[in-house]
Amino acid sequence: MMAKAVLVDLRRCIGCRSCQVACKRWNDRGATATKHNPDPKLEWTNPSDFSPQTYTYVRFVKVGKGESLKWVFAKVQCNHCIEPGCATACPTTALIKTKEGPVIYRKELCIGCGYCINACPFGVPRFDEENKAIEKCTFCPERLSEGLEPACVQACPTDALTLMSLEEARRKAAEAEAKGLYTYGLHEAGGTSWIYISETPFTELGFPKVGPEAPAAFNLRMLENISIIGAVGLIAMGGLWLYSKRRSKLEESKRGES
Amino acid sequence: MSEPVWGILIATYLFLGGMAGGAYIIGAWSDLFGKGKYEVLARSGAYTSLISILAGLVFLILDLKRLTVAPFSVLNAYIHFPVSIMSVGTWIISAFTVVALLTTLLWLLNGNRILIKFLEILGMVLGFSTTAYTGILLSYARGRPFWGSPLLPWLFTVSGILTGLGLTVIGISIIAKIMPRLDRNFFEFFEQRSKVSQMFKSIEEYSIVPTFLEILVVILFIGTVWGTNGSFALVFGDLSAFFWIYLVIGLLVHLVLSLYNYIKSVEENTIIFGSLVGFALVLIGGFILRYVILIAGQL
Repeated sequence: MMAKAVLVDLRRCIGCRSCQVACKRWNDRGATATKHNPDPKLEWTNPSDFSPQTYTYVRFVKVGKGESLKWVFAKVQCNHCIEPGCATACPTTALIKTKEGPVIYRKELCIGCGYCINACPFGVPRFDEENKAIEKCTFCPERLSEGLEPACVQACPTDALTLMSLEEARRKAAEAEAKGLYTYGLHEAGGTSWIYISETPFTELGFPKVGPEAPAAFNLRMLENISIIGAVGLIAMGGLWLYSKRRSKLEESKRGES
Repeated sequence: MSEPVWGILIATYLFLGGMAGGAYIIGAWSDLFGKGKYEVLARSGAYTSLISILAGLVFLILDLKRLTVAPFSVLNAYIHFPVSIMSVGTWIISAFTVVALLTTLLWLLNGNRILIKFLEILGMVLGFSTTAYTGILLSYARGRPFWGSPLLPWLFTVSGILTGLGLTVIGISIIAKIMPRLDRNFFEFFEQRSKVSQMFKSIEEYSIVPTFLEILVVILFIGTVWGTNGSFALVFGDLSAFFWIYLVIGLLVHLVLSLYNYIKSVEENTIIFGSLVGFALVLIGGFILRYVILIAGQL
């Protein structure tokens, strides 16, 4: 099977939350008590965040003020990075990227170190204290392998979510970008399998700013910078040591002369 | 932003692991380049680094959230080498623990000195890697921008060496006074007060440079990640009290004590007492540093 992707066109989303409900139904996620979102820009967002029971939710974002106020609805979930930061960080290969697109979690390998939670640039994975497992959107691999769309995609009444090949999704996003629209996931973290198109900049929707490097490149650059700082520090310290040695020698010879 | 997942157990592990690497480096260095003057320091470096890394591993393993359901899953941490930095670290720390154990055994049994020196060279590389790794682990975590500075591994390394120095000095006194039968060399050395105070005095002098360096590096580190939530919490916010305690009590007090010893000629017992107190504060500071950085990154 070819690598699958989902194109999320925020211009089409009406905020019906069918995807939220479909996800809970298919993945057997329970209801949880939610809290009022304290951010006035996001107060209609419910639930406010991911949890072991919430793989996806729709952010209800108020953009602009007064007359120009408009709503933007943005479904969020695991973006299923092409090169996932969580899978790179995972010491056990419990998290892996499959050829078909989903980043899947294999509980039997997991040690519960929590590094994936800190490593994900999008803040997605959660640890379920009850079942002692990492929980996040799965991209419904069991449905994909049967030729079905993920539960949320099938439930979407406006085709804001569409399943297609990764190539096609990237091409469509690039075309949208060329038309002056904003995209998310085309470049972020080396590209993801869920790609967004929007008329509103993603910074205004509270999406984290993530650089274009894939994790391996990010780590390598970090290591290079660590090494450069080490080399500069060593040279500076060596220089100071030689200087202080020379000075004390000079002082000694001066003392010897007098 | 995800909720915090790493708390006081991981902070303790980062502190003990970094200190173990530092203590080993101090011990090995003083044996390899000390012209025989610092044998007690060399022995103390090996013993204390072993205890510190073993204790660190206990805290690390206790933090694993699947330990209760799958106790042997911990061995899976070796699998994803060398892609996962945590897997790389697992191998490094395991190798370091073995070398620290062998060095300790050889010292205790008065084994072959050439073999000890060979282990010391290997252990210094592994000890340095262990210490730096604790920082690299955090700097690679892309979901936590506050940790994303190439200076963080160096901050932890300098702190590891300074706390490691403190641990070896405190270790000498504890072994000599409380566990004299572990190694008679410590007891005999500690009986010669002038020798002890002389050594402590020169250690304090040597520690002036890393203390200055740590103050410099911590300021530069915060500069490189300024603007993140963590940086504000650290300097002005909820964690600022801890941070300032670290800076003032953990570093400046030690620096002042060391400089005072360096400039004035102080009485023998005062030197010993002063450096023990100063280094104990350095250890407390080293722990606070790991704790505040770990928590600030997850805010």
